[in-house]
Amino acid sequence: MSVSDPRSDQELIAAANAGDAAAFAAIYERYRDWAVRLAYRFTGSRDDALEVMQDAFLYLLRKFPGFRLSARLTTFLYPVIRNLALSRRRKKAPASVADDALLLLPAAEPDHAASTKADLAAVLAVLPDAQREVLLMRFVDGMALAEIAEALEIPVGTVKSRVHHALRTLRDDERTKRYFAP
Amino acid sequence: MIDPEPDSPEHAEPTLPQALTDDLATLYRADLSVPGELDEAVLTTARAHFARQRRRRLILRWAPLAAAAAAVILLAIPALQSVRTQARRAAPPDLAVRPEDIDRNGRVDILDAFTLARQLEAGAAAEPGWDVNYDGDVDGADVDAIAMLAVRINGG
Repeated sequence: MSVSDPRSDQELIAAANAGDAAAFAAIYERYRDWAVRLAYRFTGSRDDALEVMQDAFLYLLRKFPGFRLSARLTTFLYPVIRNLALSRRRKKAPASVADDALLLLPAAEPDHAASTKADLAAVLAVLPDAQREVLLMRFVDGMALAEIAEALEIPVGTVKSRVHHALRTLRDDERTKRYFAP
Repeated sequence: MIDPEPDSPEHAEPTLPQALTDDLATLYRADLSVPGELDEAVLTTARAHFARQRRRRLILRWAPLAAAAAAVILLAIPALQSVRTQARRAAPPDLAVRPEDIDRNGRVDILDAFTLARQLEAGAAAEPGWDVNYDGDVDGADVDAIAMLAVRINGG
């Protein structure tokens, strides 16, 4: 794996469109770890997450030449990874998983000695899938509201509303309200 | 979900206390290391993909030239054949002037032998050029000589 490429995503994509395999390798290096973490959120399995990540990049690879990026690459990759992960889960456990059910699992088991994180995990677990998803996209993946809206193909207002409701739950719940204490 | 009104508090840019952001990151940003073999598999596939694209580009770049060259050749063959045919028709002077070409049609063939034979039988006046074997007489030996030449020329 090469050292980090200083070129922007758009520059790397332009180079890959011109046939530069190293540019694609740089894109892979830049987003690989994020893609695995995201895939893990949906699959709950390291092996499945790795396979989903691989499939997502092979899907991206097939877009070249001629790939045009209108937003950030995470906005493009997010629904790809999400759909691949959910599809994989459906194949593995078709009877027990609803089509659009999101696992959105934490990657680390909370340390029960650190009760704050354990409480946070518990409250997140009871949030509706749609609210938990946008919360994680916004505050873990660092995606802008507009990017979330584009990735999920929903209005920005809906994203804001979901984030708002998720935060209100966290603020109101006895187990997590301490985060918001002045 | 119904969109909130634009001026509702839900439209304010959402913020999170730093401690909550940090704990979310701890819960959801675990280090899931990617095996080197998986990296290599993806990148090998990518290299093969881009190599195929390069080959395809080369083919697309040279295909019009190759097609043009083929078209030129295809067009040139009938034209050359036509030129050769015209040349054959218009200029067989080396054969036309041969004394063996009794009927003056530009070719020496068995018909010249027949023509000379008929001329001799009819008692026609012999032309000096008909003495093709150069023995001083125009006779059956000249007919035979023309026939032999015609067979050699036309029959190989």
